[in-house]
Amino acid sequence: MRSFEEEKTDIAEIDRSVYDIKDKVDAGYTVQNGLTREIVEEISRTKNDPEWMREFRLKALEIYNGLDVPTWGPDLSGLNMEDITTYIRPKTDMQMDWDDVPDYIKNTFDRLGIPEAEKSSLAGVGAQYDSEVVYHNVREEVAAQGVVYTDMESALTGEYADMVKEHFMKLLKPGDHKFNALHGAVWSGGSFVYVPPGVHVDIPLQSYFRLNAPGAGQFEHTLIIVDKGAYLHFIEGCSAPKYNVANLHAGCVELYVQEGARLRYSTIENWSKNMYNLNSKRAMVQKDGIMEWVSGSFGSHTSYLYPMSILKGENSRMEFTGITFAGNGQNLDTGAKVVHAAPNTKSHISTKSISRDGGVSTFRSSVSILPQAKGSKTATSCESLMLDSRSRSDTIPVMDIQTDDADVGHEAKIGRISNEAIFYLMSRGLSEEDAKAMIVGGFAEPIAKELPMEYAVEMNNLIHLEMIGSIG
Amino acid sequence: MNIENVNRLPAITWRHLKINDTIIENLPESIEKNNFSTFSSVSGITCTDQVNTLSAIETGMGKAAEDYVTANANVVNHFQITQSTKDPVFLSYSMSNKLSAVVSSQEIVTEAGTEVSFLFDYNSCDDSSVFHAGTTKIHAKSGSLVKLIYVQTLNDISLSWENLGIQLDDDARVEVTQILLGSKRALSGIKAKLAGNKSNFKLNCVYFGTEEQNIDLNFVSDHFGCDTNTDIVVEGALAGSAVKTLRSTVDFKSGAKRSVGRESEDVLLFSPTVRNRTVPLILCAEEDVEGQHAASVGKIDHDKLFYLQSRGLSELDAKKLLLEAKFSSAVEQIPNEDIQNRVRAYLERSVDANADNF
Amino acid sequence: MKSGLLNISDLKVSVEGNNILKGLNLTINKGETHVILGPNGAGKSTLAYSVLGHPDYQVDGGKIVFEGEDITDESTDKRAKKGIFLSFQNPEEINGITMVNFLKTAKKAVSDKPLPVLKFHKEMNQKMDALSINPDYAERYINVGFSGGEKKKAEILQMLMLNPKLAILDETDSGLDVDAVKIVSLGVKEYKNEENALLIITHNARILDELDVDYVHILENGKIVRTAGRELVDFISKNGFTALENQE
Repeated sequence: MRSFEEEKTDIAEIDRSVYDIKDKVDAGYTVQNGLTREIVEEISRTKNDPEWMREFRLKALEIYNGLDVPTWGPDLSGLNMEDITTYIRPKTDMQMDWDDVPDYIKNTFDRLGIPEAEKSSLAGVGAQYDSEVVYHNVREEVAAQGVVYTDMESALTGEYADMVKEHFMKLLKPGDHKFNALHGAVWSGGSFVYVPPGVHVDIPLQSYFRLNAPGAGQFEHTLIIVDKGAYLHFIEGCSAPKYNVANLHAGCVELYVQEGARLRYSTIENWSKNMYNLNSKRAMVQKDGIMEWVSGSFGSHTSYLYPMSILKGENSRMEFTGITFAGNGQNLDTGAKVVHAAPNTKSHISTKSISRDGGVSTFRSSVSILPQAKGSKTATSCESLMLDSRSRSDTIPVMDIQTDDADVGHEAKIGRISNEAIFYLMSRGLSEEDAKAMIVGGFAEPIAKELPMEYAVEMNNLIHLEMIGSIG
Repeated sequence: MNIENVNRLPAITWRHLKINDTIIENLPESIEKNNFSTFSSVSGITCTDQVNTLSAIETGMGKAAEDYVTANANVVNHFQITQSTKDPVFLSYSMSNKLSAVVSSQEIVTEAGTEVSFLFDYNSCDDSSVFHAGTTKIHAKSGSLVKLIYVQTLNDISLSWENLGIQLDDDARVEVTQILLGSKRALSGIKAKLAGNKSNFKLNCVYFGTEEQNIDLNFVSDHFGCDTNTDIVVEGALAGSAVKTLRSTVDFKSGAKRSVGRESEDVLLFSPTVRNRTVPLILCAEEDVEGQHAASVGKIDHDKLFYLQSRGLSELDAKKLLLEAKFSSAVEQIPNEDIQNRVRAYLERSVDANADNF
Repeated sequence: MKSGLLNISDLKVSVEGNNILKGLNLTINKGETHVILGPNGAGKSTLAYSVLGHPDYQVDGGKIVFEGEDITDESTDKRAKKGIFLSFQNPEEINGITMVNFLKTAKKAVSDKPLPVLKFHKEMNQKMDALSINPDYAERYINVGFSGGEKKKAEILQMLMLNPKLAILDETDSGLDVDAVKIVSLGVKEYKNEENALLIITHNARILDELDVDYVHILENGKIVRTAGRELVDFISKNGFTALENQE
């Protein structure tokens, strides 16, 4: 844990809107151990929360204090729960020079071809303006269709305040687990999207831009409501490698897919390798609605990530396509959950995972078919690739079928790259590392196919980078 | 009394699913000792009532279940196989109000290169509630072969479990067939440690859960040696309000090069009130292995039904035929015709009793 | 005077401890077409894999020299870059990588310079057409779901695109129908010129009908036991290997 403690102090993500209050903070505040009512009220005040939100936060705080850190998954003992404020208050007084970014991260940016301006913005200097402009452009284009796309703080007090209040943390409740409670107490930033009935949003909305915008942070809340018959593709952008001092990410994503609507939610997560990514995502899908998840997990030190879909309405559907790549020092526990709660619902989970260089990847899932979900179908397929024997790959799926009128399929496979395939590619002139990278890229192709072009390209680059790092 | 942490998953998952392990409730506090005579030794098989040589071998149901059996055993056998035998070692318990509890603690050790088969049979001869709890530990030394067939057709108010721990040395083979048809609560746990190179573990478990039956299974195969092989096939059917939980794990330890582990499950569901829970784990810390799991759960295949009906069978007969077919390969493994027939008759009765659901 | 392309001397190769090649000698010069015939298990495919350096095929003695350079210990990709190509008897299926991307990557790797993309596509389309390969196959994953014949045609396509100095065809004609053999041999004919060479491993002579064969070698029990001209092919086609032994 030592090296990761050191890294933590190297650089911070800029996140001023909430925390530029540091001048006003009294000395006692910073030495408080644990999360106190004062801290939560302070956050609430600075954000000009409506009264109900202030109460909500305080209630969540109570729940937080009564819950234990989960012990069924990857080890979380590296998280400093005694001094949780370390994660909630990034140290804004820290050096934010690009020069202070550790070399290996800079090299990654260079190899990824991230432009200079963007690099600066990642280090928290200057480029905010650019991001904001792009963001606003996107916003205006979709606004013309009647779509609301705004940050959560404005949504709380704006035209859609009632809608937000009605849906906020109703799918993901503070009582679900300790980190949802924490989120409820200290959340800040994130997006609110409302797509009116029948509206088909042609361009994907990308929260990537928002992450560089003020107000975004590691406790961001995303609330999306796609109304009847509407369509939206939302891309959650942890796409650029992000180096973050507060290495706990406990965001919440709540998605409402109304009757006949369709929502595609894509993520390529590449947090820095000291991050504890304890993100919660849940979708409620009404009659004839379709929820599609595309999820790539490459970064983080430890991840707990299992987007859940509740198929609430008849004929609703969900598809989950995911890839996880765990390298040195990483323990990525990912997967999906689905509850079939209505007749003729369908789900399909398809995942791939790759473990190399001591990385641990776990596929974890839960598929429940409730007694009323007659005529439902579910299929799971997960494939794991082991690149060496220092790594681990586990598959932990649960199926709970409570009706006879269901069609359930499950397939899991684990193995390695075949030597014959490597030889075949090498016989055509590819070096061993290129051959392996190509085969791993091919393994990930079904996921890349589901991503917008630029993300697919980035994912392939990431795989190549990871692979080159792994050989020799 | 209750025992907890039974049939625990080697790697746990979300607690709210309540599937990580199970609990056995309302166990008799003490068991009447009886006067079963020990098996008399025959040529090639030495039998004593000293069981403690295999205490290091872990079992599928876990320590708590083991401890209960150790404390309460009224059948204690240690079998040492020094020479291959053709005829199966046959332990059959016809249980009734006169013989209402069999708690068996047994060990089987096969010396290098020997072959042996065991048939454990537990059946009810009246409708009184009976109890069977068993621990069987097997040490298959290099190149030996152990076949173990376990048939349980107790009545549907009984409680029974069989708890196996197996260690396989180089080139050893262990083949277990389990036929679980009776008991209100039936449990089975198996932990196989493939310690030796080229050792091979095969399991075929079939069950038919009806009415209020609760079946709880935990099968674990730990691959340590190189070129080891596991094949776990679980097939069953559920009717009435039966609940079945299957935990099945193939665990490739680092160094288990070129090992192969396969698990497959096929469940037919016959009633809207059944519950089928499955957790098929593959744990892997070795690159050079092949692990596979496949499960299929649902109603009877419509194409197969159609095919049989096109040959003149009624829908009901066709379904019965397909259901009985599921058990036939396991039943054929029973090296005793009388028991085969009894199992077939039991099955037929169960199928008929549940035909309304079909 | 023809210049030496491949020189194999006293090559001994074992696979998992079994000795397969037991002192094999073979020299191939530019412009030549060699044929290796032999019964199953004689070591024909072992020879092909050894020339490409398959890691499971252990060289216990002798050496392989290509264009005057000892390549016995070179990695497979280096050998490919030097201009050796193997058409596999059972080409690998690899998911997720399209044929066209694969060929582009391979072409870049063997030619070691930037690829003129438009020219590449034009050439590929043209060659696929000549080999009667459905144009959709360019976008399919490497050999995945290809029939036996389609796989072999895809191998010949790769050979034409990569344009090696020495092409080894391992049972390229096996399992093909008459028309497919014809198409494949036309492809091989198109490839062949005075600057390159061919080594054809087969146990049936059909593929040779359309080709000019310079030397025929009989490989038996890990050694070349006889070398002659084309007439040997005709003799074996007519009379079989046993007749050859009887003749001796």
